[in-house]
Amino acid sequence: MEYITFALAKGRLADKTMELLEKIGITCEEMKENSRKLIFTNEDLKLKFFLAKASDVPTYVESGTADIGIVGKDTLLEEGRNLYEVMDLKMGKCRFAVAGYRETMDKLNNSLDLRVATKYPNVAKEYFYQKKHQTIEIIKLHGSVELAPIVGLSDVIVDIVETGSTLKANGLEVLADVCPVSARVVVNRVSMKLEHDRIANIMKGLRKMAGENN
Amino acid sequence: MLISKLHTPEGVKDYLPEECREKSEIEKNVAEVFRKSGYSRITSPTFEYNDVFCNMGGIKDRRTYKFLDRDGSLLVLRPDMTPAIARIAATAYSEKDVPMRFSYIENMFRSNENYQGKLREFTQAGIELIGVNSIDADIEVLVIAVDSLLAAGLKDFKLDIGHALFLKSVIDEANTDEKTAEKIQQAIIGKNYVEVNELAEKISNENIKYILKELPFLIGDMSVIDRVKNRVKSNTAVSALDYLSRVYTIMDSLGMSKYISFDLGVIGSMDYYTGLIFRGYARGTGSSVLDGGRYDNMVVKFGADMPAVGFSIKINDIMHTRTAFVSTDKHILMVFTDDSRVAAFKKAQELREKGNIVEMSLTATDKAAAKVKGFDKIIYVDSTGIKEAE
Repeated sequence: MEYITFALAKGRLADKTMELLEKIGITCEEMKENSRKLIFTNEDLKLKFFLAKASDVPTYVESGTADIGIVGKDTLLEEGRNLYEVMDLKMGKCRFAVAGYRETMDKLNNSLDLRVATKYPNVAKEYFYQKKHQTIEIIKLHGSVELAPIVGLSDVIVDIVETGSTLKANGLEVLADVCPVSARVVVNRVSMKLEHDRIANIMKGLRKMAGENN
Repeated sequence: MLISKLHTPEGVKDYLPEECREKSEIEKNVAEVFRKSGYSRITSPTFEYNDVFCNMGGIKDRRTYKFLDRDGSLLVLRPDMTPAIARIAATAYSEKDVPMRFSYIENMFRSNENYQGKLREFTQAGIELIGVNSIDADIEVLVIAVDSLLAAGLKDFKLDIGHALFLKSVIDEANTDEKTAEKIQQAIIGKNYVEVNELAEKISNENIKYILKELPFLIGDMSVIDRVKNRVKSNTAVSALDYLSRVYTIMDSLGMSKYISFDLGVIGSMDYYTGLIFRGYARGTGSSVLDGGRYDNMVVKFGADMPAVGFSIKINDIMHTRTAFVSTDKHILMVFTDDSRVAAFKKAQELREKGNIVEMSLTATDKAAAKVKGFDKIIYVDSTGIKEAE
């Protein structure tokens, strides 16, 4: 039997995913120990797990170096890779939104030279070009996107918003919703075929658990 | 500054001897399968008018390399062989030449995303069977697909078969508004089953809802057909399922069913495929190594209404997943002296005719390097005669 490899987006999502997997009998004791290991194995079930930066998870899964990935919809939308998106885990719920000062609302809806700062240029493009049919200028940032409108780098931002408290604390607010975001299970195209029975079993288990969480 | 002359651009590569040998060996074996099945090799230009490939439903227009000709017409580096062969079939041949069997091994050029380790120039080997729409034609091509992958050295692989019209008619049967139907189709093409699942919730027909929600699980053996066949009513869907079972049964009788499985989740994107669709998957790769199917609506775009079926194999993708071929040729180093030069060259010719690989020793260090370079034998020729050493 070949190993089935999971790529998990580092952080809170990975912990929650492991809790969920444990409920359907998929465990990895090795992962609970504090170690510097990068890859963890469950020899009995022939499973491997590794943690990766969220935006790298689709890369591992698309290439087939991981069979299954757990990652946010935000990353999937931005990376746009060719893989199976098989399940919504209904965890890590938040949304993509356009945010900025209330006063920019008018410019947001009417301007043809709107400057948009974001970590997600593809998501921003898709929203403004395809949905709003509005030409914009995108400024790619790598973190603390909220700074951009405050210091005057951009008019608005496109980012994921959970509670909106960071925005609020800085006098910014959500000006438009783009789409909801939550954790997804993705599967490599070849693994979906060659390991279909084992992967289908995991998916069915997770479907049941995620259903019960709602 | 990048010293460009020392490097190759991203996505193109040199093939050094070992890799080149491996690649040509695969190509040779696959070509032999094609030839023995009666497929004639053809070639087409490396660049052609963009119109040949544009709007053919295959490769997206923005993923091709285009440039302007002297007269301003738009040219493109060949991204795909099928439209080129459809053009040839429609223009150089006629109905009386049917069935036409063509094969090719050519390089394709596609502009892939940066930094993903994907090749932008790569080799495809394939066949097209033009002029016949029948189960026998489809089986012929499927059998050649299996034989080609075996000949290429793959062992652990599966050919997934599906039908382009099955899901289309399932969506029709759902009886939703056009917009939702289009959304469902796009979500299926994008393999986004989360969205399919959400859209299926709105469908009142319980059977159709079941099929759409079960899509990720409609992959596998004959049982997947059994699970859905009583849930569809439209003639198209029923006959698509029936067709797939018949194909499977025939492949089973041919002893090839171990390589075949079903995937009812495939759908012909942009009307490229019109019937049977199949894809080959091998362990150790991240995407399909073989893509094929029936495309009855393409040749007509070049002026002759002829059905067609074919496939292509991505040679580069199978190079690293297969068991290496073992060469049986003996590799010999021929060491000689000034006064034995003629005898040595004669002996070398003689050995080559017997199928050996013979290299002449040209430098003093050759002998020392012989072991490392993997010579099977060293032959010494001097005025006293010929001596051999392993």
